Amino acid sequence: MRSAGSASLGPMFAAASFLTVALMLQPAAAQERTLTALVEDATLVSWPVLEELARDFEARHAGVRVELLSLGGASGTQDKVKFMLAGDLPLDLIRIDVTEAAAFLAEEALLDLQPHFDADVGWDPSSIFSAPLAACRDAEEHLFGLPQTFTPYVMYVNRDLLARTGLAAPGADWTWEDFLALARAGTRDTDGDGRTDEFGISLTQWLQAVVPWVWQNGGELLDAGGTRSRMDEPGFAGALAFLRELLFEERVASFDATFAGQLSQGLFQAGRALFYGPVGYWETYRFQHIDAFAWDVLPLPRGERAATSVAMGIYVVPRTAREPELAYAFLREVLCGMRYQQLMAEIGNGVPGLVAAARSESFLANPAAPPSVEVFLDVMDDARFMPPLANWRKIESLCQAELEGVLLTGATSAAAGARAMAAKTDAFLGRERARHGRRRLPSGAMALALSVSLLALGAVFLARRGPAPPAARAREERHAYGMITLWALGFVAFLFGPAVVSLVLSLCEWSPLRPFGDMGFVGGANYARLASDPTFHASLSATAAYAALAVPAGLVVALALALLLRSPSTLAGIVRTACYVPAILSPVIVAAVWRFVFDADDGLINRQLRAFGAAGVAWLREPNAVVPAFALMAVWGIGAQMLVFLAALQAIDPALEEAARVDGAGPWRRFWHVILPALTPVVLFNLVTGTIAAFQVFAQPYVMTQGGPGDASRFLVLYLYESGFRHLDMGYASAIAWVLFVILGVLSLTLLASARHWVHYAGRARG
Amino acid sequence: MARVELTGISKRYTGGTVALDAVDLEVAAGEFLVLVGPSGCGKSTLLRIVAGLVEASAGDVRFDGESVVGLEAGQRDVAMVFQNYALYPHMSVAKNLAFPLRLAGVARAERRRRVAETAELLGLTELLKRKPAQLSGGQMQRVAVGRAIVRNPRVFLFDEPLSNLDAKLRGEMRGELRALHERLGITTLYVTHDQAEAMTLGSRVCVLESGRILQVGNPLEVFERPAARFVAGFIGSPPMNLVAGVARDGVFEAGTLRLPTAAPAGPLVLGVRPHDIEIGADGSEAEVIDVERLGTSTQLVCALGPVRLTLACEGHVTTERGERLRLRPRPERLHWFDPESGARVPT
Ligand SMILES: Nc1ncnc2c1ncn2[C@@H]1O[C@H](COP(=O)(O)OP(=O)(O)OP(=O)(O)O)[C@@H](O)[C@H]1O
Ligand SMILES: [Mg+2]
Repeated sequence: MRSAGSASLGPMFAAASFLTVALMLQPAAAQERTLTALVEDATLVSWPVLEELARDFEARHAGVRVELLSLGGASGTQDKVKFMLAGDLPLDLIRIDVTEAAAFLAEEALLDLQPHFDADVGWDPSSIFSAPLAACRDAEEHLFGLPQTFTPYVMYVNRDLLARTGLAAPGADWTWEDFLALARAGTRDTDGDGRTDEFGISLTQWLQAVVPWVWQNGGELLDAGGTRSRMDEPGFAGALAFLRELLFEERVASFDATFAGQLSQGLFQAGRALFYGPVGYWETYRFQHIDAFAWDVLPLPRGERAATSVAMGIYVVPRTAREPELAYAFLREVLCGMRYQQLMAEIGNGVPGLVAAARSESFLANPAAPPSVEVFLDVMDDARFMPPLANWRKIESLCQAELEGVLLTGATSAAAGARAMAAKTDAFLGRERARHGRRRLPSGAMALALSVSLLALGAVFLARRGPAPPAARAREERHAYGMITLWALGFVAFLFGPAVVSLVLSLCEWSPLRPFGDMGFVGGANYARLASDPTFHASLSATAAYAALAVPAGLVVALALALLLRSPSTLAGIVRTACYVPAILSPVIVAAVWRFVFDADDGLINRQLRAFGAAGVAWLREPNAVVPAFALMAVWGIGAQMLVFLAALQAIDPALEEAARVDGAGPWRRFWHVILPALTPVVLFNLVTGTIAAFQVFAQPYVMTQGGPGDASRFLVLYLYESGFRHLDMGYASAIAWVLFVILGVLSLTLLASARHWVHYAGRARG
Repeated sequence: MARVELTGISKRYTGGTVALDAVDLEVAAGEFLVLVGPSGCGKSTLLRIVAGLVEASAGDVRFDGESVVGLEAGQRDVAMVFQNYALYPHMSVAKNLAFPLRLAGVARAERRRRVAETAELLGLTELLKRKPAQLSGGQMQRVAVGRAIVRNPRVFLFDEPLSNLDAKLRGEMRGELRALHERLGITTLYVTHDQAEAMTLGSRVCVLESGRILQVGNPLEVFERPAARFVAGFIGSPPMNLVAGVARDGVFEAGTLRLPTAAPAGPLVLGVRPHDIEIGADGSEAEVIDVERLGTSTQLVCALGPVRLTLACEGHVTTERGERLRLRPRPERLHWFDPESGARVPT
């Protein structure tokens, strides 16, 4: 069994069912050899071309079938690969982000392709850009993959706004000072309302976009060996301080509005920012339809030195691949062939890794590209990849919260933020080092744990069953057992079993990229880490705050709606249905819809607020607003609770209310003395289920904020998910799951125990 | 204690059901009036209009000459006992009794006193701490009555309060209610579909059918001189025999039955109570087709050609099925009704 979730958790379930379905869809018995590739999203324009290449490949390799799976969109992309690898699904060729390569290498999850390259007479290393190719080599200089496309981070510029500043256009070696002067000149309050309308720069600020400033400032992220962070050194903190100054003192910068789930086009696209960046080639695709102004790209300004970072997708072969030769052959054909690489350039995916494709018309004369498209090639001299020393996804998400504290909310000073980032990174690196010395979980331990707990389950069952019943009853019982067998099997296989596995996992360290048996035993270390993990604490309090807001508000609104809608009129029927619809919508769709509501610029709420003269709230960007915003969303979705209340209201004997009316009770006292007491069992039910649901909120923050700003909406299950599938730390994720389980258990039992004092069960005596 | 007057009360529910059709009724102060009629005839509707729980479509309700139309139920100073008691399930008996007082703003000490007094009166003192779910049907009934009288209202309304009790308890409660009314003397409207209850309880009985009042009068009057064929069939147990026939030259004919009548010639309905038929040497010949022995009395169903007559004899009779008898309805105890209108034909 390979599923690693806890019984009570939605996302883990989603993963488990995904794996199950995927397993079932596997062809029963493949006569032919199948090459399974997960390298591209089916919605992309390039998908048909990839399919064509696959058919070509099949034509030239008899008995081979190429199966292309779709990566799926956006932020889930990297997770799908890991789900499938964790589920032992056959993948022969995958695309990963180069920043993830180190993590895959550390787990020995990638196949060393050097022997294949060595044996490949047609292979010419100089056909691929050298720096990107170098990033595909491991510590022994062996190639483990090839670049698909890459893009250095550059600066986009609005040339019309630039002309209006009256200052000279920056040259290729412009400096921070030049940049600051221009940014100041480009910042204007055009309508004189005291609010800045045009900004010098719309600033991006995820780690990879911030790191160029650090490098330019002489700073580093890690030391050469990758053992210690250098984020607390002046080069790093100074760069942060510079950016912070742009945002909060000079006020010439606004953070990039496309960040944090904002739907509206960014400031740059709206013609309200002189510069936009640092950001990659992919934006050209988004900006190609801008007619309102002329735009171009520039190298990033230089500080002490010129530097930029590079984003890159690479094709790699998992160690578990069943058809490594075919995978290598297909990878070579696709990535070293002009057809696909030129298309990648044409659709704005990035700079093709293949030099010939990048030097072709497809890239240099792409109508979608900016006039100075060659900047993307020129800056490669100063470009650096994130050092392939560590799990960058982990470090990035560790630091993202701090970065947002410094740059988004301004709550943290640059120096303090830098120190915190350094401390978090060092703690992480320390744990990574310690891993190698760790004892492995003895083989058979997991099986032992499973058998023991199954025996215990059986024992509990037998003990509760009591003495053998008389023959007639026994037969009846046998029938009953026959009927529940299927369910019981499901319970053991999909709930009890995984729960036990996750309990064992919580005492271990295991990456889903490793074989299942290969886990290090750490005892209570995961739990100890939780106790001192600031992110977990933030997550816990965000979750508690969310539950404390969403659950009572939801109850009150659901009850109020039920009371309003209980009369059997047609209108009430329609409104009832309308209120119930959100409850049956997928949370992902709900989240997508609510982004329109919460959008800081164009959102429904802010527009209304502004119409009344109030200032809008950046709902998803304000640490103090984001939890209430999610609670508001939760209240919107209380249809199911309302339905339960309605059913309960309908079950109240109407004579009770009439009796109260005759006794002289007005509407409020009838509610308080007659209806509410009769509803208390349902209130308890909704309270308990609502609390459990609130503590498990996942999809909405996953879609809308990814936990930000800072850790303000990093709710427990989201953090669990990130720990497991982003940070590849399944043991820690399991520990979170169990803590969550205990919290929910304690909360539920407390609520149920408190019921003695306030819940009235009609027709049943209470002490 | 109030005089209750209903004038021209009609009720049409949304959906078109006409539950009441121009009902006029007056209940004297301190009177115990029983509304009786078959299921669905509008008894509850009438009661609820008085209570203020249902608004009449037309007509006026006056207490002591003052219209209460438009007053909320709670402002009318009426108390109501429901068929299923409608006790507040989460309140103890004491709290249930105190609830109307609490709503009326009666001070705590006074409240306690009156609850104790009422509990004493109804024998509920032992039960004050219990919840309704811990009470028997009879006890719940008593609490419901207690909750009604504790406020000393102007009008009591009972909607089939005894129908959920078994026969023995029902008999006891009937007696208690009667005693209670005598003691408190509060104007009472009491709904039932049980004619025996109507006969034993009320100082007056009002028979309703299809939203219309057929007869109002004291129980004996209604029993002795039913104003309509429906009343005749509804009041009395076993029910009155109603035989359709024809009057011709002063003789009523139906099957082999021949009876003298003063009614004018034409179709006619004969009504005769089972107790008012004698078995004798003369009279119409009939065959016994069913014998039902009830202990203190025996019911015989006899066939006179196509006509069926039920007769009730005191005590135990030896008559067997298939025997032939001669039947003679007592001439002074015959009732005549118009088959069209159902109205009593005066003789
Ligand atoms: N709320 C209502 N809406 C529509 N029709 C109603 C409503 N309440 C009662 N009715 C109808 O009005 C008529 C009289 O009802 P009512 O309850 O007064 O009869 P009832 O004499 O009390 O009968 P029962 O002895 O069965 O209680 C019935 O036909 C009933 O179906
Ligand atoms: Mg009724």
